Amino acid sequence: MRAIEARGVFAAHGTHAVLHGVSLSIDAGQWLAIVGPNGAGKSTLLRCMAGLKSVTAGEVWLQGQHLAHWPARERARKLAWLGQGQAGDDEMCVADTVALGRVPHQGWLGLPGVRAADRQALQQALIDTDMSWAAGRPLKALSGGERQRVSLARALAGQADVMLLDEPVSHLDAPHQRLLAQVLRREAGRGRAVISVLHELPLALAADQVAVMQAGRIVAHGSRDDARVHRAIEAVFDQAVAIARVDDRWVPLPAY
Amino acid sequence: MSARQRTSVGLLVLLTLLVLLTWVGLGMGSAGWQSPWQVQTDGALRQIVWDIRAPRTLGAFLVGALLGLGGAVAQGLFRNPLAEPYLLGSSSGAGLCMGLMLTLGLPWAVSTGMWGRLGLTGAAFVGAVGGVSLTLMLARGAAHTMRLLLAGVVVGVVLGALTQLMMLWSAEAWRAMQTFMLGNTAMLGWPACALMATVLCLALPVALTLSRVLDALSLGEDTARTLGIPLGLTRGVLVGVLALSTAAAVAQAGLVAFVGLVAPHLVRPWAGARHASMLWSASLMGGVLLVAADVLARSLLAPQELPVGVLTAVMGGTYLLVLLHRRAA
Repeated sequence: MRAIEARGVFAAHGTHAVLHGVSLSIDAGQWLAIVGPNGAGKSTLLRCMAGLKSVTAGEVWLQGQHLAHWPARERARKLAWLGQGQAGDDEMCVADTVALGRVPHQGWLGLPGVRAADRQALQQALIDTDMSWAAGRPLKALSGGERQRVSLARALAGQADVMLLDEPVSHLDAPHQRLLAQVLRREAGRGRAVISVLHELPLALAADQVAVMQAGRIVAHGSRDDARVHRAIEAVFDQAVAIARVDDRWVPLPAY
Repeated sequence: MSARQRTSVGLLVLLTLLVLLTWVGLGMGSAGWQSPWQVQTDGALRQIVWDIRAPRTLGAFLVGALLGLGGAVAQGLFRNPLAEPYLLGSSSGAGLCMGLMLTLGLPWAVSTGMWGRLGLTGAAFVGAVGGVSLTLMLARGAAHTMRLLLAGVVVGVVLGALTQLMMLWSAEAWRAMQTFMLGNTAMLGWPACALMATVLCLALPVALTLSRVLDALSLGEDTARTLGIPLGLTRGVLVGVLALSTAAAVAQAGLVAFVGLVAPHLVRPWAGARHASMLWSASLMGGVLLVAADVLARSLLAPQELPVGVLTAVMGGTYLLVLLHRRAA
């Protein structure tokens, strides 16, 4: 049983078709990076897989069950989402913002008590993202990268089986990009399935699998060591990069 | 100072202010200051305090509390710090429907008893829901602050003009609406207080029950949805709370602007951004603000009275300008 699976998904923005029969799946314990040029449909695909955008044809299945058949709260426990939007209310402190990731477990009605599991998940998420030091600070006191890590911590706090992350490193500096790679690898190691849309090719080539998208289609999908994937990356980026082996890892080198 | 301590101190200061202002409100009359303690010996004063000043002061508190609650709900719901009942077309929609009732001369519309108040509140509720819906439709949602503000202004002006137009048909309704348009606490009696207290006791717990939904909305609609929150249902209930709070306040005291905008902003520094504490704090702050405005309205040009809505409009308008300037900086 696949952790999450898109089967022949078509989607459109108004009359403009964005996805053309995309199929993509991932097993538990894997980290998959989706790369491609701007406008390739990466974020739209992720939104379709999160149930945030209607598909015009095709289906999305989560843990062997059609996504639409999951009750909302159950689905929220299984699937965490990190979009490109805001981190939260500027005045709200980091701990309160991250704690919202526990809503699927606590419920959204009233003021549920905080259980030991919630406290533990909150603390773990803050430690994983190196944000424990800021727990009591309001978001407005943080930099863009720190706010990005708060959002990631909120997504981690839900401890969902499947994590869908849309550009989770857009504001992160190099040390924190490395931290994110470690976190995602650890989450995959804990049996979670992680799909992340990434513009940072070095990070994408650290994932277990890479899917390359262009013009609403997946043009290659395979292991990070797969030569077809490397050639596809070079092609969709107009040969502006060349994938090479350096110190036992794959890295994109500028080709200009 | 910890967040809990800040909230406790803020609450203590507000409650102290409320007690002091209530004392002043009970003692201040057209003939000057009379200590409320004298009610024990002065029968005439007892009647004045009990029949006029007490319901007026309590009524002012309830109007402000309802508008403060409405403002806090609106700002959380639409993720917009400038949202408030008056700027969202809620108040002007309520005003239009009330004007319609008065122009049609329905007997219950001009009654000051409980049934009259109920009828007016019902009409105001329908108008408030219509006003907010129209603003959101024109602004194509609430995501863009300036678009929402402009749409709210347009709806406010158009509905206000329609209300004025209706008033031309009925001289009696014109007189009643003049008081209404300026916002007035002078006519608040016990039936109005009973109705507003009932609405507040209903709306505040419902809003508090949905406070985590408002918190989650600060993460954006997509994220809130992926947390398992049924946004359609919860947003509908929260718009209902917003419209009911506004309608109950507007139907009793007329158009009192900006209290709903200012109250949540004033409590955020000490109550925090979590709606569980922000909602009731903003409600309390709204109540204190309007009792203070009422006392000022009675004392600034004594023995003449200023309509309380004029004062809140001047103070709130200035605050809005400062807020816009700060956001632009």
